[in-house]
Amino acid sequence: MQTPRRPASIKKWNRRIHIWLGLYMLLFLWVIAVSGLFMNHPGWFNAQPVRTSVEQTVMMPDAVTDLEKATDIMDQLGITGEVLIRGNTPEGKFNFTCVRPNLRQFVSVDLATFNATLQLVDLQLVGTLGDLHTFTGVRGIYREPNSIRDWLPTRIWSFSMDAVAIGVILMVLTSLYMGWQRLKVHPLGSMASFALGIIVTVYFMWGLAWLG
Amino acid sequence: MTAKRTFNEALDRFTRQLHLYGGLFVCSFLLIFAISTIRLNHGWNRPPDETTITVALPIPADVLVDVINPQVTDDMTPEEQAAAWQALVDHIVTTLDLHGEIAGAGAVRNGRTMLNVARPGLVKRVEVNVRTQEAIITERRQGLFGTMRYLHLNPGPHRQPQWIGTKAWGWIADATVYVTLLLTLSGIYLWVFVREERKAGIVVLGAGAVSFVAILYALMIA
Repeated sequence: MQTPRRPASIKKWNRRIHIWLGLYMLLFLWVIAVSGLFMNHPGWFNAQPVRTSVEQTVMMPDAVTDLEKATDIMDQLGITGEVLIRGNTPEGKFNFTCVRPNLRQFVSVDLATFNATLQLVDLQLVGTLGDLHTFTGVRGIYREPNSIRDWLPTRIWSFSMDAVAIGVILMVLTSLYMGWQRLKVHPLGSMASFALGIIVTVYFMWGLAWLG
Repeated sequence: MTAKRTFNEALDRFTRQLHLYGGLFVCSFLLIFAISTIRLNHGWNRPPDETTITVALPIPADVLVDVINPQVTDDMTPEEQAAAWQALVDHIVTTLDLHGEIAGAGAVRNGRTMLNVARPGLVKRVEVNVRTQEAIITERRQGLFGTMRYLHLNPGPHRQPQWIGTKAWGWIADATVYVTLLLTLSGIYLWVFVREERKAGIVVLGAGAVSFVAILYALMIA
C-alpha cells in the first residue's frame, strides 16, 4: 500500500532553494569570483590589448540626438555595443565609443569629409573578465553627461548582476538557516567560523574608521 | 566495513564540514559584495556627510625649501623632486596623524599641495597651503552603504595598496574568492549525493549554463 507523499518541510525547501540557486548561478559566480581576484592582482598578467584601426566613409544621419546619430553610424560600420558619448567632442568631429566586454570600438567621424575612423581595442581574456565584472553601462568612469543603458545585452547583463547579487543574499540566508539547524551537531565549529567572519567584517566596516 | 567505504564517509563528513564552516565564515563578506553590487550596478551613491576644519601645519624650513624655492627646485632631477615631495607628504601625514591609503604625490602648485587619505568609511581630503602653513581638512563620512562600496572597490586594479588596512582587506577579498570557489566545488560534491535533488539539479544547472552562455554570446559575439 502506497503512503501519501508528505509536503516538503521548510527545512527541505530551504535546502532545495540553496541547491537550486547555487547550481543556477554556478558559472556566473565563477566568472565574478575569478575576475574579482584578477582585478585585485593586476600584476599577475601582462596581457596587452590588441589595437587595430580601419577607415570608412559614412553618411552623416539627420538624427536628432547624439545617441541616434551614433546608432545610425554603428549600423553603417557594422558594429554593435553600448554607446558612450562623452561631452568633450572636438570641433568638426563626431566622436563616440561603442563598448562590449571584450572590445572597445572608438569611432571618430570627420564632419567635413564624413570619413569615419574606427579604432578597435581587443581586451584579451583577462581584460574581458575584468570588464564583465564591471560592465553596467552606467559607470561614472565613462564620464557620460546622460548615462543610460542603450544596448539590450547590457540591460540583460546588468539585470543578471542584480539577480546574482540577490541570489547570493538568498544563498547566505538559506545557509544561515541550515547552519542554525546544524548548530546542535557542530556547535563549536559553526559558532567559531561565523563569529570570526562577523568580527573581521565589523573591524573593516567600522573599526578602521573609528580606531585608526 | 571496507576501507573504501570508510574513506568515502570521512570525505563526505570533511566536505560537509568544510562547506558549512567556510560558508558561515564568508557569509558576511558575501553580503557586503552582494549589496554593494546592486548599488554599483545602478549608480546609487549617497553623497557623504562632509565637515571641514582648518588647522595650523608648521612645516620645517628644510622640507619647505626643497618644494617651493625655485633656486633649489629648478636644479633637481625628477627623482630628487619626487623625494622632496615625498618628504613633505610624510611630514603632513605624521603631523596631522593621518591613517589610511594615501593618494597624492606632494607636488606643490601655486603654493598648495593636496592629499587624499582614505580608509573604509572615511575619506579625508587635505589641502595644504605651504606658504601660510595651514591645512584645510575635509572629512567625508561615507555611511553604511558607502563603506560597503569602498570595500567592494578596493584594492582594485588601478593602484597597488600601500596601507596595511587596504592590504589586509585585499587578503580578505582574495580569501572570499578562494572560499567561494571551494564552496561551489564542495557544494557540487554534496549535491551529487542528494538523490532526490539530482534530476532537478541537473535541469537547473543546465538552465543556468544555457542562460550564461547565451548572455555571453550576445555580449561578445552576436
